[in-house]
Amino acid sequence: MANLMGDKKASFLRLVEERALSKEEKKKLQDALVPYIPKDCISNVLLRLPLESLQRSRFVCKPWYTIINSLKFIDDHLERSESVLIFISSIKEENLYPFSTRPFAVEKPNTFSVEAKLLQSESVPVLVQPNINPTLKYYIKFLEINNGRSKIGEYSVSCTGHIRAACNGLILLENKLKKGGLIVVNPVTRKLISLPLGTLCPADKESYGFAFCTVTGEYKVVHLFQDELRYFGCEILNLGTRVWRAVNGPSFGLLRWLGCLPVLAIGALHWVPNIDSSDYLVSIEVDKERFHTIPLPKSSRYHDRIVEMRGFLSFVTHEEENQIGVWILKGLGELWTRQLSIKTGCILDMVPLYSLRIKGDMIFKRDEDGSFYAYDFQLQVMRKIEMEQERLKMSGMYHPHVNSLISWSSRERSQDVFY
Amino acid sequence: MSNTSENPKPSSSSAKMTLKTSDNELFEVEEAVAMKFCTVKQYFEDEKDSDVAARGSTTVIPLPNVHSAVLATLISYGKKLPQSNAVADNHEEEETKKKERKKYEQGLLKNLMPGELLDLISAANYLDFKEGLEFFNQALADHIQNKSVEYVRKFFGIKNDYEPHEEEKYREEYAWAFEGVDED
Repeated sequence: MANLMGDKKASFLRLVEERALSKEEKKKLQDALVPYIPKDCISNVLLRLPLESLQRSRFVCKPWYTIINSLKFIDDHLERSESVLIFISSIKEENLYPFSTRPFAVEKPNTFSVEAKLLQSESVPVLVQPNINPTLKYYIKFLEINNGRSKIGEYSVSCTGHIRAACNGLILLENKLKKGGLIVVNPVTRKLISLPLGTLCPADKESYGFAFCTVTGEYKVVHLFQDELRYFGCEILNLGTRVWRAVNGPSFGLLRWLGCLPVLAIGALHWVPNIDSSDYLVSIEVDKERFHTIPLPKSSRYHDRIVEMRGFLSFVTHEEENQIGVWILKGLGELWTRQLSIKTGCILDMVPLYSLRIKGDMIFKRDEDGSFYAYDFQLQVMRKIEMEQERLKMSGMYHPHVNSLISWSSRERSQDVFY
Repeated sequence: MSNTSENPKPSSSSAKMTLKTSDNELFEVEEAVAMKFCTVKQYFEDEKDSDVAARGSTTVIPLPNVHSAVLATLISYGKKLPQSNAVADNHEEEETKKKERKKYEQGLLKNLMPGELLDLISAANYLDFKEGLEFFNQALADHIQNKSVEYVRKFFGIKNDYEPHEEEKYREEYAWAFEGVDED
């Protein structure tokens, strides 16, 4: 009992002493205790933070804000980020009550609506804004595959249209409020821009590619579309500009199928032209904007695909005796070299989907049941991925994606820096 | 009081170097480990150039910016790293070594006070100890990742230079990023 009183007296005395220290002295004491950490170290630490934490860290102080918004940091961060698959999931399906006859669709609170933000930025008066029926909306989500498991991440972002393409963290979204409308969004930073209308075309007769042109430092959207006479036209938009430029499309008859998303690798966008038995690829160089065909080392069959792998273009093909062969093309104008064979765990309907840019694994998806598999090149093991949810409720296609802070224009970026 | 390195395995270079800390403690370290501190390596190579006869004798390298407790931890971590001049192990040995190192790393982090992390990073940066920096920077990132903005400011001794109205504006804009934050 006496001890307790003694402690209380001591702590009270300490309190009085502390208060007596002037604020200046206190600050000096505090500063002396905290070692100086140079900016490079701070950057190094911040680069390792998960995105939400990084977003918060902007508000610690203005120098940190400047670091996080700097081009170098954003690029370094992109380099370290692992690939994921981005997709949309219908809001209607999310809220299905097990025994209800009618789906009860309500958007989750705190959801950022892409369309609402767009209307806001276009200064449409609030009363005129269409009340978008939630049953027509989608949530944007992503699938992370790591160590044999998958996890679904949410952005709390909703949209009305499908994802048409993805590049460096930016996605190309259909804007269903405007016929033929397109938006480019970064679902992490929630910055978005509406694109000018291009050539209108039914969705099954067109394909979009999205690429970063390293030569000019700009993002380009490539729109391939087929007319009634089955000619393919092509137009390209430099992000930030307001005009689609027509370029020569691929020669008539080369491209017959748009079922596959184009793959961006070695400075070009590549399309597989047929659903089965493709002997070449139809490619457009991002910088020179010219179409070529690239012969494949062997015929690409129904379950074969091209995949971007560590910057190179790979051709992943099913072969005899339940093997999967991987060929690599290191540059346009070079020759395909056979990299390796995957000899274990191959199943005929495994379709190569994408490769993990940091870890290097090749991810496959089976046609039959939608299950995912990962091939580890180092351990030479094919592993079935444990899914977080039994059946993934999603609409449309999976797009290889990376969560980043990238913005499409340097002008946009420079607005966010304190000098 | 000097700290002798107690590695029984004979290495190709058993030359030792002495490092002197800010509080005048001497640490005798194997050359292979000390060379991981690039600042020390640079100093050693400069010394080598200037006085050939001095090689082999114990040069004492002063580290006025590093406290003994901090240096002890960094040396200990440095010893656990794969040595650059070591013979290549087979896959199994490599795996066991990796597991050992992981256990050691976890133990190290558990016993560390968060404040010590900053001292370690500052010292590792001064010594240009790349592997140490990687490891401790990651540990720091893991530590602050779920903490509030105020905690981070206090931890780094950073003054809030945002105007109240600016901060409010940003908090609103980024409200969704502030969920799921630990209690300070």
